[in-house]
Amino acid sequence: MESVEALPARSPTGELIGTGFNSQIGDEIQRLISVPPDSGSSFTALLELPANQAMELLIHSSEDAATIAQNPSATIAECRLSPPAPVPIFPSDAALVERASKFSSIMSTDEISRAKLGTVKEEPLDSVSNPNSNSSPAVSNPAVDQNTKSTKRKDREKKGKESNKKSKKPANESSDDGGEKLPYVHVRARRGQATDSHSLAERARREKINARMKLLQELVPGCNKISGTAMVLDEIINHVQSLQRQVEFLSMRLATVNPRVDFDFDTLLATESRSHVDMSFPGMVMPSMWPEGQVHMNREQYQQPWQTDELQQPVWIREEDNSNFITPENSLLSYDSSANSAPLHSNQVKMEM
Amino acid sequence: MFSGKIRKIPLSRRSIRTRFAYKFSKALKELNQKRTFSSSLEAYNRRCYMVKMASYASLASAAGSRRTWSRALLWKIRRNKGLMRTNKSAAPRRRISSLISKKEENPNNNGEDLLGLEGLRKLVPGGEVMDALSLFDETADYIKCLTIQVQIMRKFVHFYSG
Repeated sequence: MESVEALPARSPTGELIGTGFNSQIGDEIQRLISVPPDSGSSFTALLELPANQAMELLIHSSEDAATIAQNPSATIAECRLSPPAPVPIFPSDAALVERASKFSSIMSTDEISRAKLGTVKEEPLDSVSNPNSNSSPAVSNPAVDQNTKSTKRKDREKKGKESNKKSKKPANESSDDGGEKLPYVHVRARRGQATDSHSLAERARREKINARMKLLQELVPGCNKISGTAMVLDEIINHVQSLQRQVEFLSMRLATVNPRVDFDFDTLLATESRSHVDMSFPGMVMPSMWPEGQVHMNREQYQQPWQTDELQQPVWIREEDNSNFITPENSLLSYDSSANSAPLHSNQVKMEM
Repeated sequence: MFSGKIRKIPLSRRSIRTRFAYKFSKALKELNQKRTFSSSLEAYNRRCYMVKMASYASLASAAGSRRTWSRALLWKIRRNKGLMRTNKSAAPRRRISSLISKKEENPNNNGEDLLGLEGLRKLVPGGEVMDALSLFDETADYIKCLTIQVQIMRKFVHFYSG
């Protein structure tokens, strides 16, 4: 009822604006009575205009043809303007646009009132956004886009929920497709755990962990055949424990052992350097392999040449102490000296420094 | 000469095996010098502990400070210096692990990882404060070094026992 009362008050403005709007009151009443205007008729009305003006009207009203169906107020305004207005009447496009915007805004308020009377509920929102679009398109179009985006987002959310219900990987794929914030929300919702974001980084990290697990599997003997992370982890733990137990056992052995021989590192290093570097010392057996008697024998054999070289030795050994290297020969020497030989004992002392 | 070439290589650039053997032999020497010839059980236990700690410390220092486990090991050994402990997994460590792992692991791992990692954290020194990724890294390195330690110590035992 309000709209009917409001229309006569505004119709003079319509007369002021347009030259060919004399019979518009009757038209408006008719259109108000015909409840939802067809978008198709508005399009045909638009088509009657020349191309540039039609484009102007299209841009200012709304870009998407699909959205026109949702907001009929703008289309109403256009179809009201267009039929009585021939081409030569409008001198400039700007003036036309302004008038059209004014008129459409008025008509959109009518639309609101009519929607309040009870047509469709979705219309008032769009008709509110549309006057803005007619007056200032730069503001309006993003608003329309936001509306469409929000609908799209809702669709995506629905899709994401469905795929999340199905399995985990499709959810991640949908996350790749859609916005970045959506998947994380759904992953969290699915697990019921409050993770930080970065589900992608999380997945990458998990892959890295799997790679490390494989490396560990190779490291632990007999672990390759086992499948399943829990079993592999158990095996790794067992291995580490056994190694630590071995260390304990060996340290007990070392504690019980009576070190008659002050153990010298050189012998061990000699064995290592021999095994690593070279096997070209055929005369020399690994000292740790020697039985006790054999050591004495060999000491007798090897001691003579070293004693002849005794002048060289202090320099030689000191240098060696600095560089922390011990040759196999020296290892033999130090072993002998630490064991028995008196003349070389001074060198041994120096080495211990 | 052949040996002359090798002699120039410093210890820091040699293999971890060599470094460990060198350091452990030094530590054993020191222990033998301090040794009291009392045959009591306590002295024996203490000696066992000292040898073990010496081996671990030399292993950690041989591995270098780049690794987290070696740093944690050295720190623990220094902190426990003078204390008599035969069991390596001491009480404070467990307390820390129970505190931290609950905080840290929950978002990261699913259930089956949780169980295994819990055990692994206790074994690898410094593992209580690691996330799963670095824990695996450190475990791999720790296993390598432990095998080296066992090999070298076997050689020592072999050598001493003739």
